[in-house]
Amino acid sequence: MSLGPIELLVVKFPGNQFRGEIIPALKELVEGRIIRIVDILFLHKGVDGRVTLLEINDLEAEMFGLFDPIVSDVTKLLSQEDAEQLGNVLENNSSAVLMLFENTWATEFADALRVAQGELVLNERIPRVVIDELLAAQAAS
Amino acid sequence: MFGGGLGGRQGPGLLRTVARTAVISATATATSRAVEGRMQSRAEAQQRQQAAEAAGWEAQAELERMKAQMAALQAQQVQAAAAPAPAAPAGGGTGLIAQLQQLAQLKEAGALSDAEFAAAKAKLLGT
Repeated sequence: MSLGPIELLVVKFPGNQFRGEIIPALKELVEGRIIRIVDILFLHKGVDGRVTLLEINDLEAEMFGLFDPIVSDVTKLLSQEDAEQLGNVLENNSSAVLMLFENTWATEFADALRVAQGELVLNERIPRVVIDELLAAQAAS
Repeated sequence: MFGGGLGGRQGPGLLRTVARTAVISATATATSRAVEGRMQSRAEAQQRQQAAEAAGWEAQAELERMKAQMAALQAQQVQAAAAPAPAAPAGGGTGLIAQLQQLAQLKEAGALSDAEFAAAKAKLLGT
């Protein structure tokens, strides 16, 4: 399996809704082959602090219908332990989507690099605070 | 505490695996960068140099201690050889093993080459 860089995204929502509003934006990323969702899990933390874990096919029909077309794989790399850890930091009466996605654009870019006999020397995600600091310094000078 | 369908989600855990391998991969990256002379940030390079210097000094000091210990041991061996009944010195085994371990550590740290290690070990063992 050719797998590119994988990222974990955890998005939380207030209340007991997995909001469908994120779907169109996600769909655009998936259809543009920018990302590929390779695992997905849904968490709900009740008012009593009890955490419920849902697989995609545990969702209500409407939600399932929204999420299913954009999830290309359920690898189950996210474990119950991950869900428990992340569930611990959720507030009561909230919901979260745990999503593992492949940066497809990077996979394709890496393939192109290899073909061109390029070699990856450095690949670092720069923390936002660093950029802010540099921009501030630029503005000040 | 947890409900819902959890079939097949009994893996080692992504977050735990990330935490466990962060140490290893950070070292590997630092090592490969240092070895291959790849791009480094100035701060990183400084940090690494300081760490390397510290490690170097430690290894150097350790080497000096080892040399002193080996000299002492050689003196002991000379005395033992001169003695009519060369019995193994009491408690000497532990010291020898400790010294062998130190030697191995020095070799691992790169303070000793393979040949130096072999020579030092042969001396320690009196072979």
